[in-house]
Amino acid sequence: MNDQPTSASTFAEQAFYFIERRRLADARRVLAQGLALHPQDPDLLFHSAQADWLDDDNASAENAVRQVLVSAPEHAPARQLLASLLIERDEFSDAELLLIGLLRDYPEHADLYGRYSRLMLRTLHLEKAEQLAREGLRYDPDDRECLLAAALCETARSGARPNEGLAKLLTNHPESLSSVHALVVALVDSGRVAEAHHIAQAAMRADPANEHLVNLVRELRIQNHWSMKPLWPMQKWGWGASAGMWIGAIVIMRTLERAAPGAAAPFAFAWLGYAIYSWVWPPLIRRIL
Amino acid sequence: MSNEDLLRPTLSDFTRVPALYHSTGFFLSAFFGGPVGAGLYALANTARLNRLTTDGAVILVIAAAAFLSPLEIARQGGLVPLGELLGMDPRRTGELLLRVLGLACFGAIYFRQRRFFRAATVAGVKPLPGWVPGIAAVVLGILANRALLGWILKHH
Repeated sequence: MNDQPTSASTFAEQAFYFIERRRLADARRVLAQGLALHPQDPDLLFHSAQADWLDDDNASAENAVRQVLVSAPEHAPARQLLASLLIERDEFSDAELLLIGLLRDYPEHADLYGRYSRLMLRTLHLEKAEQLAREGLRYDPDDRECLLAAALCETARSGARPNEGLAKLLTNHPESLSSVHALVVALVDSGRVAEAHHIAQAAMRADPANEHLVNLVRELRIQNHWSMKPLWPMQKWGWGASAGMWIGAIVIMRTLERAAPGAAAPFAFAWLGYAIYSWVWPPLIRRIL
Repeated sequence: MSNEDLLRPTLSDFTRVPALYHSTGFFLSAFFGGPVGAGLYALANTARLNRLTTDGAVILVIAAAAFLSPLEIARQGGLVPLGELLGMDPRRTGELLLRVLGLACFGAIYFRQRRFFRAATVAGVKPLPGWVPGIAAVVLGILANRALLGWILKHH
């Protein structure tokens, strides 16, 4: 690598090298040098936006990416980044228009179908999300974005049943954070919180700076805490379990009142205590841990 | 759906992005408001999903069938024997029946729309606060339950 680059492309290459390795301070240093010499270079501005985005400075990232699009309106990575920024700001319709524009320019780019599919899933258009993921996989059966979108769609539709999309994602991209994310979501959805916690912890050890993983592990730690174990039916079957348990408790209470009146009141109090615990404890433990 | 259909915009600045009210509110509306509470909260949710035309009629049928079941049970002379079986007077029996039917409604509607609830969880969509539809569903549900039980006890 040239230590004293002068051309914009060399600065951009160096910045990309650092960004890929999450060495954002080094990337910023190189970008500052490059932009001092080439203030309007689209690639340098784009990498600057990327560094800001990875650093969660979305306002600066959007500012930089819009500057890129003024001088190079067709800059595809900048358009993709702007779409991601708009999605984070809940400006879904503008993000959709950007992604459709990109897909019209690059109709065989599977990754774009995957991104669009995840936007549709985010806005609860499940059928279209599935179709987009399928369409993307026609162009590239190994595309990570499409496999992730397909796995998430399948988790949403099938819950705890065997998930072909997830199996494919894990086989083809076992190292990817997306695979970890999809696997954890599927495990939590099927009530296997302990396994999800272990997997997320292992992933966090490999990438301790990843804020998303840190938050995920924290949430799973709460859900996997010993004091949450009595609530496992709700963790596994959600509100269905809650409704079923209430109906069951009502039937048991009425039966006890007739068959063993002495046991009815203790049961009613125990049940009421459990119900209050299930409502009060989960938000409390989130504040405590 | 052809590729051209897939690339037709689904979202717009003029329509609300589909979302779901908090599922806790749905459960509590069904628990306290019975079938009417469950139905009203579910209709609010379905409206936010922009699916009233596809799911609205089904929800109305489920809620109406559950709400009118005690009436049919009373017509068949089943309310008093059921009360005797449970050791309760007919009013308490009716209230309990409506609560159980409310939870059953919740289960049936949740089962029908479960893929949207799951998609929201999977995609990390934050639920909308359900205070307004929840309170409206509980109040109207309790009033409807009282009116129905009052009518049943007066006429049967």
